Amino acid sequence: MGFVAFSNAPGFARAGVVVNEFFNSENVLFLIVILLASTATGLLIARSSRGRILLLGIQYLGVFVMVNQSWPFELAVVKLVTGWIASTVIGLVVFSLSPEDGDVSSLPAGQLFLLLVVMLVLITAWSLTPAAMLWIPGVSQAQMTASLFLISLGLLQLGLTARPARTIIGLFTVLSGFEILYAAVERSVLVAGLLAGVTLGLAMTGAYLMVAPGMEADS
Amino acid sequence: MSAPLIWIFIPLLLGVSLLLLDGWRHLVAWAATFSALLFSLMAAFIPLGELVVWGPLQFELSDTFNIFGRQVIIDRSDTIILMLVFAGTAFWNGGAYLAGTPRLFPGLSMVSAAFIVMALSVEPFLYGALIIFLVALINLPLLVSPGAKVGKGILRYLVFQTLGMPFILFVGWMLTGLALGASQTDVEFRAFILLGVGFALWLAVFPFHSWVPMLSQEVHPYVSTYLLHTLTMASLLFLYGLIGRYAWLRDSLELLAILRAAGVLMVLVNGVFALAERHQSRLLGYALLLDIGYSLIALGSFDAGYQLFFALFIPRILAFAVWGLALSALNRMEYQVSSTGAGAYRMTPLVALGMLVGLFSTLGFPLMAGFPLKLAVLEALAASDPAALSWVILGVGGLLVAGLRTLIYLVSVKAPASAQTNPQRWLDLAILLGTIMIFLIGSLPGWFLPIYINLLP
Repeated sequence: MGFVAFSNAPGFARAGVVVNEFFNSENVLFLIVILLASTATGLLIARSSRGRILLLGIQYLGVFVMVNQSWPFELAVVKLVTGWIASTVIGLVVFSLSPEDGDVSSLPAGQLFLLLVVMLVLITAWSLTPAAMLWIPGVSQAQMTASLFLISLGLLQLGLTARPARTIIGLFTVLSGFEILYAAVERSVLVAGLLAGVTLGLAMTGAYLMVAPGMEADS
Repeated sequence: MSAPLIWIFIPLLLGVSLLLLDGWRHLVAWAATFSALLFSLMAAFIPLGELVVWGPLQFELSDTFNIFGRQVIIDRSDTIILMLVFAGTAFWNGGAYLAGTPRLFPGLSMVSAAFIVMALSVEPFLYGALIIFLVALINLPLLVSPGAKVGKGILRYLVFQTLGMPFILFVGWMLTGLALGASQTDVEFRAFILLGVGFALWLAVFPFHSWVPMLSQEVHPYVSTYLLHTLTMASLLFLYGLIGRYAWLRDSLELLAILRAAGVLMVLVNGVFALAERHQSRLLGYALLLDIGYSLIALGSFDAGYQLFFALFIPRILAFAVWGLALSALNRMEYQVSSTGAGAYRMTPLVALGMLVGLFSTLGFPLMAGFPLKLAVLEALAASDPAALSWVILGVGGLLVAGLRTLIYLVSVKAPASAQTNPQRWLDLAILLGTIMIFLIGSLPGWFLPIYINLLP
């Protein structure tokens, strides 16, 4: 009730209009697509846990902009807030654990190979965009490209890791890509709430999976 | 008072309360068992949407509950689903304490039951996909005990369950468009592809099956059996609900053929994998997937398959609960994780019997609960697709060889030096009771199954 009243306030609505106008320009959308490709790549190759959490937070900002193309500002902002809460939950656990976390190769050659794989995946995703747009009418090219980038790089992340933290981040990336597309076809408040619940549930689950091995065994 | 309040919100509240109760594990386990049984019996005896007169008491349960602008509807056609979900929960909880499951088991199983009912009764129906995924998420604490390592199977379970959900949601959007009249062959084709991939991920259809044996090996056998059974049951019921809701999907011969093909593939592939498997928990995982293959074949076998589809849940719950209990007993007897069950028959005959009965009932061995239904499914398949029958027989043959090998291991091979005699007489009794039920249903199918079938809408 309070949120609805707040989101209907003239100031909030005006802010929404300004944000929409800014982010709807083609150039800004193009930059956001590049930003999302960069964050997803960074999440894949970064060795620092802190860096990954920061990148995840930035990624959710990009996802918010893309979802805002289809949803009203006050509904799209739910994605941003949920994503940031999820990032914080994962971040708090990651920071409290030991700093090591490198199942991605620490050798420069390994990193280079990974970058080449990422390039290949991005080119494939880019080339699939026109065909994919026929499947889901009503989605803009920027949304489809960003979504395919996130889904493909998230899947790559999932295929390369066997660690809970990276797995959860990979799932967040895939789901973010899906949510951009799904926002274009479904505008239900209940779905927005349930998807927020899924994101937060995944964050809590991921946090549990990370801390459980260090917990005292149940008697 | 409304039906959703009784079968969703009260169990949810009860489940959360049970989670908060630390200690009194006996009490919590029995409370979960009896309350789930009560919900199941209420579903059987309270007619929904009609005036009920019990002596001086008169009431009528409305079928609709509004939540966030959407509706949760439980009507008379859902009776069988309510009974299945809650009877299953009661059954699993009945053995959970004896099997030594984690403390959270009763509470989480009750919450899961409430969520599954909600997923199958929410409108629009496709939102249920999100709720089923939440069931997969909330059960994760059962899989990873404090202090235990997180295995690859658990992570794969999480990944596949998560990836399945978006496909189902997109199918929902496409189906709504098609239901509104936008009939296009290419859209139907896309919907089929998305539906196929989504449910293949959820039901662990080949090639997305690898997490099932891994999870079975990594996790407490009773917990993994419960979770695999419950999630696949929810997914199968959801698939059934989806097909029932859209006329073009219901009338599609292509869909029926795809379902049969997926079922045959599951029986064949998992039978072949079982052939090479010596680890008892992993074997259980393959056997469960093989059994789900039968459900898909039944669902794809026109009208005759609909009753079979629902009936198959009963022998499945019985067989896998008994098998899971027996494997839990093996664990308690300090058998190693890579156990083949060697020599278990000499140590404790009832545990060995439970494993064999679970396995052979799944195979559809005569006089066991699975036999009459498996035979009926094979007859239905032979009528619609005779060529596929040979592949099913090949798959079943694989599991049969695995069963015979298990029999040899249990009976003739020497037990490991670390193994101890099973001290839990109550566990033996539970296995014996389950075994008797399997033989009773298998011996008197004409008496038991019609009672259940008559409840179908």
